[in-house]
Amino acid sequence: MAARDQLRGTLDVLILKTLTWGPRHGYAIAQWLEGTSGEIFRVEEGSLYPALYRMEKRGWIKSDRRMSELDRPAKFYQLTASGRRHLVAETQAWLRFAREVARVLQADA
Amino acid sequence: MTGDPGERGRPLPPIFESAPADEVADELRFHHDMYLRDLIARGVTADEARRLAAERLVELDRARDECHHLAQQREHGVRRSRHIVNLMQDIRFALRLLRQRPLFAAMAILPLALGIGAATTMYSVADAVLIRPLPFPHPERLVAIWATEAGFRNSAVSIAWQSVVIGQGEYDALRDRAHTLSQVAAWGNAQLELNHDGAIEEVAAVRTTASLFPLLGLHAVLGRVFRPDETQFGGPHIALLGWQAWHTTFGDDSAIVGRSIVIGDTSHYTVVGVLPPGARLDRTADAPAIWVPAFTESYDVPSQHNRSYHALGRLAAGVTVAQANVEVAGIIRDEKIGWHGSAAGTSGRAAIWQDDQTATARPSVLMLSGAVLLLLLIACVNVATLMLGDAVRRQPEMVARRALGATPARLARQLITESVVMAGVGAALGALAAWAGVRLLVHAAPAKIPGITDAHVDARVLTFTGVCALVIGVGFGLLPAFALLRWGGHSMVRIGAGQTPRRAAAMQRTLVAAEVALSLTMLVGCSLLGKSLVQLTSVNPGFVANGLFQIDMDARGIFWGDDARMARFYTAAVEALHGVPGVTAVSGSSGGLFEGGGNSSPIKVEGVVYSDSSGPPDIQQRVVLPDYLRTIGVPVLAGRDFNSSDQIGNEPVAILTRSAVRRDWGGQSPVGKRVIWQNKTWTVIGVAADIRYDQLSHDVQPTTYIPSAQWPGAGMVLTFRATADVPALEALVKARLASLDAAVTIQQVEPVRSLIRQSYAEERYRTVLGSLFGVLATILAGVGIFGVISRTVAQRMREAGIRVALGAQEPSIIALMLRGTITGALIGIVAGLALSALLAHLLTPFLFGVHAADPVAYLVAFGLLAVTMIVATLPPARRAARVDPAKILRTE
Repeated sequence: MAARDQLRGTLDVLILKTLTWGPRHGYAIAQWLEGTSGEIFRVEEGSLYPALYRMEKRGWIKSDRRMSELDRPAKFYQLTASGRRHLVAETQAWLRFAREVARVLQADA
Repeated sequence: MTGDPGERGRPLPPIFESAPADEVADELRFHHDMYLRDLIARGVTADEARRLAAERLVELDRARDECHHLAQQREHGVRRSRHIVNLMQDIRFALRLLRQRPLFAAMAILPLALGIGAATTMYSVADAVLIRPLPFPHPERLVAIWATEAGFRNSAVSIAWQSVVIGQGEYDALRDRAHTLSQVAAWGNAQLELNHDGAIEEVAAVRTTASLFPLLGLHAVLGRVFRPDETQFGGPHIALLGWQAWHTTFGDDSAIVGRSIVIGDTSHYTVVGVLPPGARLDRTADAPAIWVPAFTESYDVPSQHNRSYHALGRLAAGVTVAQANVEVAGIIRDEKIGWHGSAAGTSGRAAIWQDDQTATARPSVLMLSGAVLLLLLIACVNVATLMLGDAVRRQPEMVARRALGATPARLARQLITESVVMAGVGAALGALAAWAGVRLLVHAAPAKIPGITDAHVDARVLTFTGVCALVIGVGFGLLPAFALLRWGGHSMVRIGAGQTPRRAAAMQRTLVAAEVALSLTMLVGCSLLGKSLVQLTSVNPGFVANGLFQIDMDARGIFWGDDARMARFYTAAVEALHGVPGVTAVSGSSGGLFEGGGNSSPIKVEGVVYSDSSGPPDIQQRVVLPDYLRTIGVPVLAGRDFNSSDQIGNEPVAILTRSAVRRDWGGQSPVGKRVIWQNKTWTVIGVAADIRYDQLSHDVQPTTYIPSAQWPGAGMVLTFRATADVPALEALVKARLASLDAAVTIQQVEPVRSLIRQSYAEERYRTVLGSLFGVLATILAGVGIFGVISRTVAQRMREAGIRVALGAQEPSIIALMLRGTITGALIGIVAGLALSALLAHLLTPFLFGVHAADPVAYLVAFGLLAVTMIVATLPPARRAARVDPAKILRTE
């Protein structure tokens, strides 16, 4: 359970990150995640959308309908103030964690 | 490049009908279409792209339900917060309206606060006394068991002939034979002299069988409770401490178990345990300090027929109280036959414990609750009248808002919010008032109401208050909402200069009638109770209470055991009291005046043969010190008073009261004749006037006076008469008596007048409370009617002005203004009289010397109401009559 939460939390942070450059729809988020992380984060759409809905319910992101590349309205997500705060906090936690792990791994016996 | 238009236009399956489902489906479809587009853009063949995209869609579909679910939750949240925002808006708006019209707000809120406050106060009392279950497991299965003595019924010796205590014989029989009871216990109140480090303090105690503890589910918090073999004759001297006593007297000493405490001068009792806080059986008293085993003394053994125990039982599974009642009656009858040869009027009964405890208090509490309900009702009618008047005033506003597009539901919601806010503020104030009211009520309560000291405003009570407020608030919101929606259908044309629609006028008339009817009913009840109290307090007790004092003293066991010591003390005390300045007479009697209780035994007229079934009648006995009758001011009607020759060794003599002569001698003079009392023959030397000992409302009781010189060993209540106000009388008396006997402590010197006052404390309490509610109700009604007239006058000022201009006289203008109200009031009076006639007989149990249909009481009520009506209606009506027509006509 803890592992899954961790994973889910990671996905959340990554999604929030993609939204720092502006509103985008779910497909674009998926594209960006795949493109940037070079397949490491091959996000399954099966977990992307629940994550989006969950965060929208929590108030980290909000959505509206905008005209899409397909010439029809689509659902676009954007960061809210509380989502931005969450992203900053999570990012710092990650970096701290990574530093700690690095320090341990590089430690001399 | 766009996706397949055919696919996009495909109708959605029915399962995705709701909005969140649409949202999810739409989004996933969009994802699919984008993917397809990208695949084709990357050069994948159309067929291959469609296959890949479909695969992707299958994957997406797995998330569909979860998304759908989350979207729904989000929607709920949004809707709820939107509701809350709306509600807050409405509440803010309502508060602003109330602030803008402080007079209206006060007129609506204060009556509600009063009504709800009174209802909350009374509810918390009713809850503590009647409703809240006793703090034991399955209290509804606990029954009180009593013997009943039909023989006491008419003799007036025992008013409580249906609640006679039992002895060990009955207890043993019940325990061994009752199948309807799974457990039986016996307990009795006692006073013990706790000797703590040499300081002797009289404390409340309970004697109980060991069976009481499992029966009530009571466990010792320290040590253990009694064992069955310890509560019998010759059982060990052991004791349990009450929590409070353990805390205050023994300083929470946990090593107390196993140690011994001293009772009286010499008795050592080993403490076996400490009971939890609140462990008590008698809810009219404080929790007992000490618990000791029952049936350990020689006078307890069944052959002694000592009856001083209460009994409790727990109903066996599946048994009803009625079944237990029948079985208990049979067992107690059989027990009496066992030692007496015949049951002769003795039986028994079982009743649910809590009901039995509250049997005497319940009618009062219910009566007062009824009064409070009427009061609350009047407050509600008041507010209803006000709201209705307001609805008329706001009709233009509402019609305008509807014309501007507000839905009826939106307007109704706003009106309901306004009235709920008002009721809420009223309830909050009411709860505050109740908090103080309950304290006052408990503080002023007579001692006999069980559990009233537990009354306080708590979550239970506040829930009641909240429900009250909500019901009232919604009700009064609906009323104008209803009215407005109905009238609101009419066109704007009808909205003239504050015309009252005919319907509203009729409704207001009805409300006035209701107010008059309810307050008249309350006033009739109050004046009946008031007159009853006057009747009661004007009963002549038969002695001269003014200037008479009684001495309340405690004495230790060693005093009571020594006849000579007692006689010495009383002689010395009488002499000492004679030396107090201002004291004109001193004496004493074995039964104090208005201290409760009495002492009776059978008396035979010499030569009369009494039948076996009824036996000789009981008579109250009073052993008296010399000069008693003169001291308390009772005339000797025939024969002589006791004198110094009535000593032991001389002929035993007695004085009978007139009621005894009437009963036992057919009114013929008994002087010189003889009676047999306590197996001794006494010559009757005089007849004294009757007095009341206990309650002014009770009939006089046949009594015999016996000189103390011829009946030594009786404990005396010292009494004396003093002229006018003797300063520091109590201190003087205490000082004189202090050094006479080391075992005697003088508690206080009580004026007999105040003892008499205490005897009707319950009646006074009831009457004062009832009258308070009645007066408040009438004031509310008056204020309500004042409001109605004022509004009518304000609305018809123009009409009045025209009439005055045309030469109408003041009376005709006043009549015009009051017409509707007078009709309403007349209907109200008729309805009120009918309601009073219907309800007044419910008061019969509380009435003394007044019939429920007493015309004087009705007249007084009517008069009070009339005065209220005149005060409430005349000033505003006259204002209309004195209007300056020129001014009015100019303003329009």
